[in-house]
Amino acid sequence: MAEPSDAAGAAAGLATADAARRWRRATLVWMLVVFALFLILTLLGLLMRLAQGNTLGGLPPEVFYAVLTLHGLGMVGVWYVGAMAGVSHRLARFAAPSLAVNRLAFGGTLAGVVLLIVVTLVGRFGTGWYFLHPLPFHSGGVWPDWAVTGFFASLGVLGVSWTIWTVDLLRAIARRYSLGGALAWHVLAGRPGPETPPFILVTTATLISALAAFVAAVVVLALFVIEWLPGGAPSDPLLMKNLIFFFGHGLVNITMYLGVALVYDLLPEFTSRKLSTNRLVAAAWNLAIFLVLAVYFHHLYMDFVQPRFLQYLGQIGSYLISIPAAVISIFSTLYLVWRARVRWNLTSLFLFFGVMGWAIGGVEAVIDSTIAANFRFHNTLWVPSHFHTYYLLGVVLMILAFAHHLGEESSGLPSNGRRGRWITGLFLAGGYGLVVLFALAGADSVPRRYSTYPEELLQGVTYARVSVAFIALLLAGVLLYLWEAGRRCVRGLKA
Amino acid sequence: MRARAQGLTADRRGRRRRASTARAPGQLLLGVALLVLGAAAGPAQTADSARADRPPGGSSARVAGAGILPAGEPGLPREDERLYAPVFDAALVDSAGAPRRLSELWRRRPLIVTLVFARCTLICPPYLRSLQRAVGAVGGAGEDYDVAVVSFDPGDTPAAMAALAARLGLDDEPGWVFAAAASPAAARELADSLGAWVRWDPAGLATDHPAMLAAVDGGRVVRLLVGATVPPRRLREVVWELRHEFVPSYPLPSERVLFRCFRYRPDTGGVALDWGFLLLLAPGAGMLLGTVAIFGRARPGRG
Repeated sequence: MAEPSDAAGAAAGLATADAARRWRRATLVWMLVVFALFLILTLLGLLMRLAQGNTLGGLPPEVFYAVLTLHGLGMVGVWYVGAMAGVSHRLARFAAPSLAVNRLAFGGTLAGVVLLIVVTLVGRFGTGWYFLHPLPFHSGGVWPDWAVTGFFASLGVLGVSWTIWTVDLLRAIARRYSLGGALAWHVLAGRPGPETPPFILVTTATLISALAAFVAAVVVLALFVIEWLPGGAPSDPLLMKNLIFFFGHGLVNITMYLGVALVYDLLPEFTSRKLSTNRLVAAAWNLAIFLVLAVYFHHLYMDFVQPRFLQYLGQIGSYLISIPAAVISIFSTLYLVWRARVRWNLTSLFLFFGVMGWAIGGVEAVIDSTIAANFRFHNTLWVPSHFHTYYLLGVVLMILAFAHHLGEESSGLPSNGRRGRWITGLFLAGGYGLVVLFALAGADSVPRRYSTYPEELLQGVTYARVSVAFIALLLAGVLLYLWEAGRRCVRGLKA
Repeated sequence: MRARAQGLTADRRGRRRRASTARAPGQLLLGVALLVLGAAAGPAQTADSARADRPPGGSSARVAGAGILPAGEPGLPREDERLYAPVFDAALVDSAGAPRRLSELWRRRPLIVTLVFARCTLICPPYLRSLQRAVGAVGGAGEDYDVAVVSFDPGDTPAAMAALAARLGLDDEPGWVFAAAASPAAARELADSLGAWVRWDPAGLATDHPAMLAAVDGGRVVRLLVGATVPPRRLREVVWELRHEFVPSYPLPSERVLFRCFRYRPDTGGVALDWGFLLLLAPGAGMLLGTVAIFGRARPGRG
């Protein structure tokens, strides 16, 4: 990471090479943990598709659902911390986030992940990553009471760590920028003022939204725990579903926007153009703060008792949020690369294709967030298609780009162009094959979350079997990437 | 396990050929993953959770505990069971002695069916009076729906059912049909299809059965109401359902639910906001307050 040369950088606490080295090491460790968990969770995904393709000789359903829960929650969590770690590292150039809090978040994440692995793989806790109320309390004899307690404990540890982390990053930004400065209100008003880097604007807006998601998490977790305690009172299922999706959808959105912040910050280093915060960009991201609060209602379209005005709000919000978040970012990315001198390597390729994948997944999401379409697509494999597209082929590529770039800078080992293109090709071929098959299966009415397909849905078996071939391609890309980026990160740690 | 290991081994060979630079580090990571997968295939020690598998409603346990039903006997039916289940088309004999079939009634109009017996001296008389009052309050009997009071007692004659109707003042009331099941088998099948049960209690010398009604539309159960009385507001929901009007109401797990965001208003059929809605506003409020608190406190070093 380049040493800052201005007063802002000095105020950011990176004035000493030692501080910069400590930040670099902390982030490298984060990336290595993300790599390990990514590989394990990808293999769990492969296991599920093998099971659905009837190629495993009968994986017990309780194992499938435990694996599904770990894969879903794990991936959401891994990429959230990956994005936060990347943003923290880049933010240290502008402000002074706390390394101690970074380490606290690391410890809390590890503890929470270990708990989660135990309750799922040992306890067979299998609610799926939504842990939809009241399913945790009704195992049908599959998972024991301690698994439920452990699951809530895991969420509690992760939630507390991540909330403190979020607050710390906002605190660091606040010590450097006023709220209006960080959100570029002066740009919106057309007044002169200090430059607000797009990275700061996007990060600030995203972390402010994150506060809402974590408050929702606190409330829903408290209600779950109250119900779980002896003599506890139950909760209204509709309220719980609203709160769960407020938190869950919010967390996924935040992760994606943090990934986009990394794109805004990193991609210009590879092109001959720079990005600045103009009025359109400022308006888009300020609007996104509030739209994020209204989008999650599209998860409750099929809950007939949800008041109709909230359903309409969900559809309008889901449509509108694509404008600031995706449209602006897509055009910004295209502007950076169109007819520009671009240094294409694994980092820039992943950043570019990450934005494009995010856009494609976003189109699928907008389609599914149309109420009339949702009647057909709800709970079909279309849904995993869209979130695997904007995650695996979107934000995951963005974060992996950052990790590779960090490894390259830290180790001094330059990127291998040929291997970078191979890795990109394998990721895209395998990843798009996987998600296209999900989408086709969804259009063919194959439901999601089935451990085995009954006779009426045997087409699901075929789609699952064919998708394994693409997962193999993807896995090859993942392993090659882990070799490329992993050894650079390890060498960077030793440097 | 062997097939899975063989599959994974073949996969590994393929990756070696395609990516000749994937050497030991990749294999080590894969080995770690296999260990994790092996752990996933191991047996899990599970135990039934008394808390996670509470008996439905809890009332059967209370009733059993009160000595009315021996332990292990069926409890009250759950209202969320048997939705859209087909109703047995029982052969009946009405209070005029005419043979009927239940399907004749539900084809004419949506139907509310309740199972009683004419000689009952326990729950049936007060239950029927409660139903009568509720139907009177809600209205629509004979226009939007009919009410079928069906006896499951093979000993009940048409005259007994006519006398029952007369005692209630419903013998000439439009929309009310009093009938007895034509045979014990018909009574049993009908009760089963509605989720009801009938049991002779030798200790009490009485016939036990739940007090309930079933709303039947197109030959299928669309609602069950279980309880010793029929509150008019609950019957209103049932009647709306039979009229194919949307009812934004759902059963709560218990009376002790902490917060609700919306409260269904049976008098208007709409919803009113409840205190739980504040919990949906809390995240946004927390976001704003947190932002103000963080940016309000930090002053030095600002650009």
